Amino acid sequence: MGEVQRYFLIFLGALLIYNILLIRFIALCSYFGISNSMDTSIGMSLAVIFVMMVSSTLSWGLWNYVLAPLGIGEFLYIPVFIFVIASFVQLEEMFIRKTAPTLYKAMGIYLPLITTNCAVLAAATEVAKPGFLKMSIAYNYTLPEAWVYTFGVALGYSAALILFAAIRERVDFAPVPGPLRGYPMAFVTSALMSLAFTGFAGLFGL
Amino acid sequence: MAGGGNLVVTVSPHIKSPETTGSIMRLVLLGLLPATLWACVLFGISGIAVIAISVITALFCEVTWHNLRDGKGTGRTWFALVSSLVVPIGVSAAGLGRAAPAAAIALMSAFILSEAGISRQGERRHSFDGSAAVTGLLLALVLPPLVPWWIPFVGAFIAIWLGKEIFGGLGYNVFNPALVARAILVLSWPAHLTAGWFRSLGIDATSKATPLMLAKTGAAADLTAYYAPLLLNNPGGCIGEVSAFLLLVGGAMLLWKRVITWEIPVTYLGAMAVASVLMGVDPVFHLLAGGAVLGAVFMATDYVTSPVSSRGKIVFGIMCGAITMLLRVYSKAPEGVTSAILFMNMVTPLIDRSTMPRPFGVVRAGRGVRK
Repeated sequence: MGEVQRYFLIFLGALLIYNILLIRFIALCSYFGISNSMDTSIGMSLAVIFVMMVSSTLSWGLWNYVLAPLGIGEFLYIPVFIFVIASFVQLEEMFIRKTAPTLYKAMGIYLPLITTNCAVLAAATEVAKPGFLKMSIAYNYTLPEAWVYTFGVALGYSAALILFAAIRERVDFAPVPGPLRGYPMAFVTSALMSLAFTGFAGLFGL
Repeated sequence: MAGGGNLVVTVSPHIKSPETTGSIMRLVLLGLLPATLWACVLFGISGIAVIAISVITALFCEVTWHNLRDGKGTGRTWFALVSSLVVPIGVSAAGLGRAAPAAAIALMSAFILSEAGISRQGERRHSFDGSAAVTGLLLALVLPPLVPWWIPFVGAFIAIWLGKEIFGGLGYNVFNPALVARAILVLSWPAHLTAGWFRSLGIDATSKATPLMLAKTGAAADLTAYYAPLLLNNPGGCIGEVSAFLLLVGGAMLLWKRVITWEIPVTYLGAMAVASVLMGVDPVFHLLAGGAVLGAVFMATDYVTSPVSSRGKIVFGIMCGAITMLLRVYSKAPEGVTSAILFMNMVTPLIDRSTMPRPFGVVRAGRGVRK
């Protein structure tokens, strides 16, 4: 299998076929909390893409150069990754506030939210210990593969979030029966969105 | 408002179109009629049974939901609902399995007729706009003819309740109800939904693979041999896939009556043709086979779940066609129309948002949010 083909499959798998929100159901809290409006969804998406790329790189490095060689990765990786991601996001927030006020205005308020976003942890864990993309390719991600994978996950998160925000703008104005208004309807809608994503299962053998 | 002879004072709108939801739905039913009748001939009693159960259950679901929503005849509605579930099960348990669908049909029709026909004190009779009948018929047309009777029964409940009414009824659903039901049925009972193709016309009624399945596995070497059967009397496939020609006749009628516009069917099928040439497969075969025509003409053009603007419709159609071919050629399943349309239904609100026409004279927003 060619290198480009491998990258393509990893990207597509992360983006569509194993979409982090709608197929694996990770990070639902931010998904339901943020999708009320399009503007917040876009801001959150940008912030997630940025944080995910950096935190995956960090955790990939930590796993391959520290945790795995020392043989302590198996039981320590979750606390280590959580600690690294949380402290990195805090640091980054301070850094962005000082150096790039415009950027901070666009996505700064979402950064504290991302500290505890499980999608970020899931992507960071996956690039260190692969297991979700059940492909016959890459059992250990190289760094470029980890980037491609993480970018796919982050874009998949953004796509699902923005699509959901657009749908919710419509559903919120519909005469939904009383007991179903609000979150119940959001869950029903996202279940049906998940159904639409399920259609891609098996594409390219993924 | 002094009534001065011929002078009528009213608020706008002053020009009223005779077109109503009911009249449009009747035209859609009429458009589906040729293919449906031909399917009844080809598949005999089993095809008729699936269509009848699906349509009647869809109407039944609509009536019961509206009754319960409006607090109208709650007691008798619950009674009808429970008995329509319990009686067929009881009949089956009594060893009269073949009578179960008949019992269900009889019960549900009786309830529908009584709700529509009998006027009760202080209640409005149920009036049908035909949308449930269209959904029920479309659901039957995307099912294989030999499914067990409870598949269209359950499917119609999913289509009307989960696909449509839960969102607030007609006009508010995000996804095409019939396709939601089909997708859930395929996920839940794949064995029933991927077999059961047959024909009763002729000497023997045997279960066969669909042409798309044969093309997928490579068992059919010469696809041109399938052109004529796919156009006229498809040897294997869902009820509504009997004849691409009859579906196109119905579609042409809808186009002529301006019930649908050209954008979605043309771009859908056009994109499929282009994509199949690019992927190196037979374009004519793929346009005729499976649910392509049914999907492009009758499913994707659903007003509620497709974009409003002309530009949006073109984007929608092209994406549907491309995804359909992508799934047909590169995924494990032989068919991709259902998934493609459902996926694009999901994207429709975003397409609508981004293809919203700019009012005349308004300067483009500087942030580049609107393209």
